[in-house]
Amino acid sequence: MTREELQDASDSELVQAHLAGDRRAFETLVLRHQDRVYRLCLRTVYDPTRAEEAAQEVFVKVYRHLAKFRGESKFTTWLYRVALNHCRNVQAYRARRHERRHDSLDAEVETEDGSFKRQLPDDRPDAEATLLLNERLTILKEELARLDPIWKEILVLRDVEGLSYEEIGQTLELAPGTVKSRIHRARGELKVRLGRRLKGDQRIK
Amino acid sequence: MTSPMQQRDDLSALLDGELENAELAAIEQELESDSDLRVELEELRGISDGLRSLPDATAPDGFLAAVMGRIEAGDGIEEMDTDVGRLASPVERVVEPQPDNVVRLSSWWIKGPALSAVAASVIVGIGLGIWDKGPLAPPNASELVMRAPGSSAPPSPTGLISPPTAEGDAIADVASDDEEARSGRTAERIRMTPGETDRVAVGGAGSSPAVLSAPRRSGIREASSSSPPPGIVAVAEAEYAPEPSAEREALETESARPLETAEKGLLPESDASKALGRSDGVSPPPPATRQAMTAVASLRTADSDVVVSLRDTAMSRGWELTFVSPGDAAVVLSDLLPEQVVELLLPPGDELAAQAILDGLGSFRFASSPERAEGEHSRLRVTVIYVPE
Repeated sequence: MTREELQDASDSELVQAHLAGDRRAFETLVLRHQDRVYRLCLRTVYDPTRAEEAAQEVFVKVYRHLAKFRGESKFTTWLYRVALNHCRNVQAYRARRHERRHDSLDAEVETEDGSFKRQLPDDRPDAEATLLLNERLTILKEELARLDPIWKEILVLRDVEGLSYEEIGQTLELAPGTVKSRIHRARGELKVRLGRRLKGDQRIK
Repeated sequence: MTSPMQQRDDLSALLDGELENAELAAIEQELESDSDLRVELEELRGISDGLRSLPDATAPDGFLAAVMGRIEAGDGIEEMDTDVGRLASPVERVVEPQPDNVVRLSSWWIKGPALSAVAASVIVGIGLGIWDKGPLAPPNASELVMRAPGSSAPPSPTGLISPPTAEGDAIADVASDDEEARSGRTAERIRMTPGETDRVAVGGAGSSPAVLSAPRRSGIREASSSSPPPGIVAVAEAEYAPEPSAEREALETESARPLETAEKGLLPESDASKALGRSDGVSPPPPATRQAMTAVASLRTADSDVVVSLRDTAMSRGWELTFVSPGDAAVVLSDLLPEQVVELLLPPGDELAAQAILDGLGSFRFASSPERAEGEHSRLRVTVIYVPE
């Protein structure tokens, strides 16, 4: 393929070209999708350096396993799966070494003042938390990263990557109704975390 | 009719423009009459808008070259995915102990002869611990000491560590990866020389200033101490940067050797109580960045064949626990977190020592599962479950 042909080629065509031995085809795929893979890794593993490494590793895996891509789904769907799997493994690897605590709603919250039963926010408005939300992107990123992967992944796919519910369902292999309920639940989980975090920050001030 | 739960699910779908006409009409009708629902919708909108407003990160410069370089170099990324392209299982969660497998160790392991029957002279510390310079009371058997992190001295009963009585080197072979450990190979060899520092961090977690770590490089770091207890041959210290690939790199830099072969190079008995300590010159990271570690330390004493393998998967925060038994193994665990796993790999007959070490730990319980299939050793896998007072 010429340079122009590579640029105009679909993902599937690039895959075929790569499998036929065209190295530039794979490079084109990387360039085309590197930002979304990096972004997904960044939002799931949080640390930029680790995200970069993870994203590189995703493409190494893609390179090795591209023959497994049958074209039954969109390349991006397959790519997201590879990336999500890899990021899960990265996080699991870290978790094994860090024994990251998985917060349970029933678990006590450790604070400087001791341990307390978590005060679950009710469904009443927390205008303060909402108001502060957009001003605290760092907190948002941190709390997103701390979400259980089951919530984090779907929020990243939806609100960061902008995938449709159908695309999310294909990527995560979920039924449409599950996608809908899980997205809502994920936002609720993040809202709880943000509310708690922002209240804590207010108290400190 | 839409249930309240479905109704709330529809709120997010409404935000995302993913509702069918009928669903849209229904939720809009509900919103008109339900102010709480309207507020919740705005909260969800805030969450969604916040996420969408995150900076649009792009891959760093040189990303393609890095990828192609790794491919050409035959990057040794382990195939963690067994089926690329299909979703793997969700990230593993901390497994809650089941009531029927939570037993006190003492109820499982038969009490037996005094610890002195075991001539081991090993201290293996995994977790958080600081030895202060200066004499401390001699160790007592089956003693549990708790102290807050950073405190200079443990409360009574103390008796953890005595000052060094000799000089010399000690070598510990430490495996830094689960797979490596299981296969009985070591990742790095650390050599410790005496007297260069006045503190030692036993283990890799927490805020110990003596724990050395190189950023972006994981694996085992050298321990340092000028005040180890008598009889200690080696102290293993582990510090892991939580970077899988970096850790693999660390593993690859040191050729894996069979554990038994490595152990043959350990010191003779005359060196058994020699001091330890050498800094590799790398500044420790700030305490705030220190987190947990998982490590397997396999040490052999000079005068005993005891091999103690410890695997600590806890994230250390808060308290330390130190189990001490004279002349045997001292196991320093750390943390307030609910669960950590310790594996003791002992020659047949030394289980009693482990029992004594781990017995009588007050507010801790153990879920243990003995295995005898580890070569000539028996393996005790202990899950330490913290039970708050």
